[in-house]
Amino acid sequence: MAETTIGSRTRIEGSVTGRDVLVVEGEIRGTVTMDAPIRIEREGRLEAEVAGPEVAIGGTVQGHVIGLKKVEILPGARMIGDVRTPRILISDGAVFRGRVDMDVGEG
Amino acid sequence: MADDQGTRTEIGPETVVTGDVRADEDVVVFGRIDGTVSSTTAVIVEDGGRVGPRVEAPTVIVAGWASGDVIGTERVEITETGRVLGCVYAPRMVLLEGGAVKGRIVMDGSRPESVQAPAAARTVTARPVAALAGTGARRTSATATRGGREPVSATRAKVAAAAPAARATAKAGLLDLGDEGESKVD
Amino acid sequence: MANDGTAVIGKAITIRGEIEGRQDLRVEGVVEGHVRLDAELVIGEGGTVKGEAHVAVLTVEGHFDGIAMTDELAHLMPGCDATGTITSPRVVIEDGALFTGTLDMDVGAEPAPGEARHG
Repeated sequence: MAETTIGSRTRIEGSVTGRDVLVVEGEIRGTVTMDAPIRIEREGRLEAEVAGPEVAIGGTVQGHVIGLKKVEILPGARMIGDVRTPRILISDGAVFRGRVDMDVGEG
Repeated sequence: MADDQGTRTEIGPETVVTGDVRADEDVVVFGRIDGTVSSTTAVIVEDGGRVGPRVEAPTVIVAGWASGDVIGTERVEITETGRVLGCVYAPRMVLLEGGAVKGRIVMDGSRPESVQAPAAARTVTARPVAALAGTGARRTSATATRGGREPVSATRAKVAAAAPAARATAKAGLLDLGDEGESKVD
Repeated sequence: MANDGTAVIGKAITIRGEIEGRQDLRVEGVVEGHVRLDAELVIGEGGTVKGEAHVAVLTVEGHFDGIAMTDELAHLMPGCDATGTITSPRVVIEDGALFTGTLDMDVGAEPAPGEARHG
């Protein structure tokens, strides 16, 4: 499987869609809709609506997140927004402000 | 973050970005950018990649498809698989045999208004299409484009690796998220 | 294509008018007008061609200003200075060449997603 990496010195305004694994070290303002796992690294900063089968958040996300299978909010993450997913992991050290809705069928 | 001379943005072959991409690092496109892509270093459109209607960087290398304005503030290179439909602005240009351009070529210094003022760019040390032996780029990218050729960006990364820049390891700064994120290209 | 060697227009010669032929031509002087060759036109480093060139192969080392149409190849060499319109199935622009104008080549249709050029 191929990967899309948004580098730490890159800023995107708009939408990112596709089937590649997405790794975000930079900034995205807009929407992210992938048919593959999404990983927001520690330096990643999103002001976006995010949807994917699996979303792992290690950086900063302001916006709603949909993980069709699961969402992980990792140590050091700042997640501000609602999360819809059947499985969620919120790690010690994560900051999370928002609602969690787990009443979603498995993707 | 430690010295991150080795970072870049890579748009995978099945990814589409619609909107504006602005980078202070190389942007390598295997997929598609519909909008403006500008970098203070380089934009490389790989074979199979598509960008348009505006690309701007000190170095622009087109091995795929570019439409609209292609602005290389230092140089533009169109490789044997490159296609440009639109206008190329650059003080220096190379069109390799096999490449094609339909549109204007402007080498007299005039340009459409800049999206992003180019910062002092890194030195481009060599022609990136030259085949070099050795190991691959810092971050695993497609080891071959669909056409079976080595991606232009991998060659360019090897050239950059020879320069005395400290390179952050691929894992520095990344969280250990187990195997799911470690996917590599076939 | 018949080729009886290369004809040369020397650097101290200026021709205004029409040139037609089936052998290679090297211009080191000045040609203003139409050049029709079923062969190669080479514009040498100090040479100038202004006007129209309809040739099999165009190689520019000097100055070209006008409309060029080739059957095979247009080759812009380092140090050359070309302006105008070039229509050619193949074009090579070397590093150090200067061209300001229009290139009319076949770029094909915009590729479908995921399609690469070479297989």
